[in-house]
Amino acid sequence: MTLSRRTASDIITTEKLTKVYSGSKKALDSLDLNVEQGEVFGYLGPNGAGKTTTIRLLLDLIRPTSGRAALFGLDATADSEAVRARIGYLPAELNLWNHLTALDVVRYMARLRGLGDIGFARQLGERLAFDFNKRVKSFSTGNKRKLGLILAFMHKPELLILDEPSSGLDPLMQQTFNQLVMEAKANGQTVFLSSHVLGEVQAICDRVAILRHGQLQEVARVDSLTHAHVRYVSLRLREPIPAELFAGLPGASDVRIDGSAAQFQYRGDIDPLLRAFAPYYVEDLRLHEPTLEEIFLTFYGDAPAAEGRENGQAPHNSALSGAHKEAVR
Amino acid sequence: MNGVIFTETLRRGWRGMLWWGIGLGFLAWLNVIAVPNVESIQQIAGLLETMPPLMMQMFGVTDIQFMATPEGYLALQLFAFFPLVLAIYGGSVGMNIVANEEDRGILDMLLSAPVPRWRVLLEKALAYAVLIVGVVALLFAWVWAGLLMVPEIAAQIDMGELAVATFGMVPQTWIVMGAAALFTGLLRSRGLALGLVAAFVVGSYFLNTLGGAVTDSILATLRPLSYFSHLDSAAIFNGNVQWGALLLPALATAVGVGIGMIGFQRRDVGA
Repeated sequence: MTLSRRTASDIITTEKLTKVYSGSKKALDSLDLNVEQGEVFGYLGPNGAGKTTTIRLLLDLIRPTSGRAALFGLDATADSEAVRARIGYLPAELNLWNHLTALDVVRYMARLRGLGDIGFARQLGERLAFDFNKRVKSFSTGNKRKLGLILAFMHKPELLILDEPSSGLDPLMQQTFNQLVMEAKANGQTVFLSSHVLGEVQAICDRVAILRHGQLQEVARVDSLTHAHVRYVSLRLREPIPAELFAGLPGASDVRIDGSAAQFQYRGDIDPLLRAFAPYYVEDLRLHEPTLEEIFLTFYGDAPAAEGRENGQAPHNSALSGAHKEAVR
Repeated sequence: MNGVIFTETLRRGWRGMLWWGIGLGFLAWLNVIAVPNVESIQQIAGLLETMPPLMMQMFGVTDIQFMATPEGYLALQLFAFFPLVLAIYGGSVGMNIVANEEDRGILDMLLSAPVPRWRVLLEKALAYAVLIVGVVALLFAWVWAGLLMVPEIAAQIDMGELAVATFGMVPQTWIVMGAAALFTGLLRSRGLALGLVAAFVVGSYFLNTLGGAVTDSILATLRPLSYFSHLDSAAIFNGNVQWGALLLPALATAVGVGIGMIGFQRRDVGA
């Protein structure tokens, strides 16, 4: 299949991909997305944004209402079997046969994939401190997650599609997971992962897409998002800060003044900022770049209780929106 | 890989098959050894004769003179009752083909492997078809074992005809499984599919019963639509095996599974 948007290096290409569930609004709305070979691509969004719908469309578990998706240049629906042979998948909620042992499950899935040797699965199990002999029904959420990761990685697929891969993993295992992803990337594998854990995304992803209400809000490199020349500035002078001070400082926005203290966002070179405060006695001046989480929340400023608001950043970020989005773009 | 799902389904299903075969077989064995001679069978037939015609039909009694023979007794005790019980097994394994795994979210993982959906349904249906044969074979073994304990009765039973009548319950059970494959292949709702399968079995049962009892009604005309009507154990014991009627449910099963495969291939999977 040829998609006009596809380039030779694309592993995933979607073109106006849309899914409407019967009797409901659009779960996914005209998604145009490209994921390149060898990259770790983060897919961000709160619950109901359309992340899992996208993944299920790519895996041909559900069919698009309109638009198309291609993986490895093959149609996600028509060539589904060939596509799935090259994919490793971890669903957001992993459900397996409870009465089977993990080893039974691994062997069964390996046979379905025509994988004669499960040596790599055993290696993964050792790294994840996983017991293959227990029955699935006895597993904690974390252990189920580990089994899911083993099933996704064990055949060394060209593309890993991981839906909330690290939820339920303890910090140590989270680190092991990050290493596995980095090793996959080093081997030339492509990783497409959806996540709420923005620290994880920031640590391992090359690019991220931000989805909201089924619509793509942004696709950008992680480093361009976090180094987009917008800084948070916290300032404290010895005397009350005159509001008109910021009138001569065009890079400043979202200014909040509280007596002798001020917080604002600032774009541009630092020199004009320093010159603006030069006549005053500056007790404290702090600048920091926004984290990915803070950037993420700018896209959900009016979203009710989005799950991304986990670290109590919302009040700060609610002031962030416009300037940073513009800076990213 | 071809056959992987088939063998895995057999591997996981053989214990269930064993328990069903042992349980049903034990019931059948009890029914057989409960009447050690022809005289006791005639007493039971006399008791049945006092029943209203519709009630007799519901118990599978069509000819009271035939019921007073060992073959008639077996036709009543085994072939009027066990197809209905086997329908429960057929329905439950039929729901295992797609619906139960889909409902629990397991199917997502299975279908992430390079396996076409139609093959998932087909291989599972074939495996369960084999397991149904296993249950009926165990049932037959128990009946045979029971007959060895009542030689007076056994002497009047043609074991070939008994085998045909017993294994005639295989397509009867397949068709319930096939109905489950059809409805769960077409529909995502497990509850709706289960309801339709139950309606199919219960509807067939009452159509067969009422159609047999009220011979001058539309129900009698429609009776061949009931899959229960296709196993006529009395005719089999009288040496009149109607192979076409006996195997028609098997053909209907194949059609049901085929349509289920097409529907399953085309629809969305999962919640």
